[in-house]
Amino acid sequence: MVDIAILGIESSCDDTAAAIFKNGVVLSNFVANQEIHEQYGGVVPEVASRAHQVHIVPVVDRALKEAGLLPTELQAVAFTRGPGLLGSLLVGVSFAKALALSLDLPLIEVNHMEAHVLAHFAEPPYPPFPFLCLTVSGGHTQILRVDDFHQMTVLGETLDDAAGEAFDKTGKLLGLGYPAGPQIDRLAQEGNVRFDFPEPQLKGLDFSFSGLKTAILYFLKKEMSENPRFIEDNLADLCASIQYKIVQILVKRLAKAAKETRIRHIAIAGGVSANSYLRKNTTGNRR
Amino acid sequence: MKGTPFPAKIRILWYFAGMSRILLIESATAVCSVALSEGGQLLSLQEVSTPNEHGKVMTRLIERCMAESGTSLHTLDAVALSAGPGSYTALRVGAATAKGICFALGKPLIKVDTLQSLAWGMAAEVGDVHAWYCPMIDARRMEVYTAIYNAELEIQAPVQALIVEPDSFDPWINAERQLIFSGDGAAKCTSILSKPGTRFIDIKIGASFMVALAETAFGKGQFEDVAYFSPTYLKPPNITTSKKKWWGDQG
Repeated sequence: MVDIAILGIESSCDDTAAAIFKNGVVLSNFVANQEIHEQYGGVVPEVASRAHQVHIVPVVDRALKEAGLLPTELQAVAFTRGPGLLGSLLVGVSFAKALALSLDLPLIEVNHMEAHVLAHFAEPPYPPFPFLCLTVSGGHTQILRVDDFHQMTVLGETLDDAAGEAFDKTGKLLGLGYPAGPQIDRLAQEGNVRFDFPEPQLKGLDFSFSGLKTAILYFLKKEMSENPRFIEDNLADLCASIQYKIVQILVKRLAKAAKETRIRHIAIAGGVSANSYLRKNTTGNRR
Repeated sequence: MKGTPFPAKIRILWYFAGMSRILLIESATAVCSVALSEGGQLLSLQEVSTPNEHGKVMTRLIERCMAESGTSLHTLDAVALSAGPGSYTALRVGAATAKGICFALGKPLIKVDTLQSLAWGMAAEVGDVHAWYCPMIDARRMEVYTAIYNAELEIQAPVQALIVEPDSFDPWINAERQLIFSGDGAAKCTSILSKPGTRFIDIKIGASFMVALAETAFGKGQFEDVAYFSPTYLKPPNITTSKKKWWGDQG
């Protein structure tokens, strides 16, 4: 069998990443993070693009070295085509194209959203087809029915903010830094679900999170007018309540999708999949 | 050009030996231009002038350059990049492409100053050895990236981002030397800068302007670090942070 080594390049948002897969096995995977965005409360496209430009060669070089390969030993170059930040994507795409042109290699374009789902095939155990995938990140929230590697159907998605955005924006209201998701997760573990917020009443499997942010804002404004220290006094409970509500919105839709499609296998992808409460609420419910 | 550490004889030998085959990439403006030179001679020039198409067309232009000249990227001696200032995104497409080729094939990277390259084109067009050459690259509104060079392409006024005022260049206007403007930033300044002693010429920046400058840098062995090279942005990113305060001064 001929060895197939593929270089994968990802630059859709703020992280510059490169990985080498050889015959389906990940040999190396290297990510350059950009912590600079924390001070701005979100990813600044121009800052991210400049950093990608500086990181791209060192990241690819390191991935190749860790895999023990030379650029000339590659059989193909894969890259994230989108969706993502245009300026960021262009750096990875241009570099990948130049690499493929120079080495006379085929180029493989990868859809960012498909990549989130297919990340489950990076290492075993692999989910069996068909399965449902909830992709939740700072930019996306969608439920997909996955019938094959490149056969996916969107069953529902957010009509406004993404779930990760809901974490970050409500975290901002609480005075937490960016990204707020991991902090809310941590603080929530010391708190109790004491406050209730309204849930969007949408038919079908779509999501909405912008109303939740507004509801929390008005709730906090009201409480703060009586007790200016309300947030400090109740921070852990607020985090627990907000996290509970966001995860409830996600899990209810997911359960509904499973019921409607009668598909039992469920995968979760995207940055918000790291949330411990979401994990607890999805991994436990094996039916 | 003056001030080279190499004896002129060696550089001249280099030129005439025709040894150096250089891929030239110019993507600082709306023009996406790629050229191949050998021993200082232009072998192929491929250009597209549609804005925001650089990411789409650049590698195709490179392919065409190689096909037209019957060469392959493996035989290059260096890749030269017009490093800016100019459009941030377009510069990055050029830089990422140049880096991709240099990294893949182990070629050295040469940096060419975009304004100096434009000044080269202006001087070649006008041929006035006494003139001041003021290339201008558009930086939106009334701002331009600019510098002033003499006919030897030696810098007279430093590279800067300048908001153009009617009197911005008055100190450079005199009876002995004419002040010549060109570039995509010059057009919008014509009405306020046009006065006796100045002249506007209409030339389009392209990779062909880079040939001599890249050749000279190659001859001197002036190469960039392929891994950590960054285009000349000239300005920090323009970041506006939210002033919104949720809870009075506490937020």
